[in-house]
Amino acid sequence: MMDNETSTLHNRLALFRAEAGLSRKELAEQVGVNPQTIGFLERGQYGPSLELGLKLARVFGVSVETLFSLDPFAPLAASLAAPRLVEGGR
Amino acid sequence: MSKPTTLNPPLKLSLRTARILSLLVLGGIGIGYLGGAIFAAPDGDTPIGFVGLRLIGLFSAVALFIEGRGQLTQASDAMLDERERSMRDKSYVATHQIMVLAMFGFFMWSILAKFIDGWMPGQEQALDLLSGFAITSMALPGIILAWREQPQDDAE
Repeated sequence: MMDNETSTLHNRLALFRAEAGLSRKELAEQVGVNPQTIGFLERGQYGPSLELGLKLARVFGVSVETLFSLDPFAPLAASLAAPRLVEGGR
Repeated sequence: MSKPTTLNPPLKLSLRTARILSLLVLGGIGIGYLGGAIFAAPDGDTPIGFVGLRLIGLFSAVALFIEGRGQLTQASDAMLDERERSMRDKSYVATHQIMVLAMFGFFMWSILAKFIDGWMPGQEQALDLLSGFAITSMALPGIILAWREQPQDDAE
C-alpha cells in the first residue's frame, strides 16, 4: 500500500463502516488514527500503510483484499444482482 | 491500540485565516525585504512603507509558526498518526527544497551580477535579506500545509 495520496488504490471502507454501524471516530479509535484520517481514506485521498490496512481489515473481520483493491470495485447493485442472474439462468 | 494523543494548540486558526496569513507572509516578507533592499535610500535607510510590510509579514509568520497548521509541524511523532506524519514530512521536504532553490538562485545571481553589472545588496541589505529568508523558512511548513489541506466534510 502507499503512503501518500492515491488514485490507484480503491477501497470499500465507507461501505463496511456503514454496515458495521461505526462512526468515523469509533473506527479511528479502534485502529489508532485520528477521525479525519478515516475520511481521507474513504475519499481515496490517502493510501494507508500496510499496517493500517491490516488493522482496518481486522476490525471488519475480512481480508485486506476485500477492503482494498488496485482495480475499481463493482457497484454494489451489480454485485447483488449477479447471483440472481445466475439463478434465473438455470 | 495506540491512539495519537489529542493535540492542544496554543493558537487555532481556520484554514481560511491560515491561507490569508500565508499570503501576508509571502507578500510582506517578499516585497518588504527584497523591495526594501533594492530601493534603500543612499544612506542605507529602508523606506517606511517597506518596514511596515516587513512587520506585517513578521507578525503573520510568527502566528503561522506558533499555529503550525494545527500543531502538525510542532508535534512529536507519537502525537500524530501516519497520514499526519506524512503531511508534516512532506511540508518540511518542500520547505527545504524551496529554501535551497532560493539560496541557489541568489548565488547564481551573485555570479551573473558581476558580469552584467547587476544589482547586489550592500552589507545592511544583505543582512535584511537574510532576516527575510529566516522568517520565511520559519513560516513555510505551516504555509505549505495550509495550501495542501483540503476542506473536509465533517460528517460523523
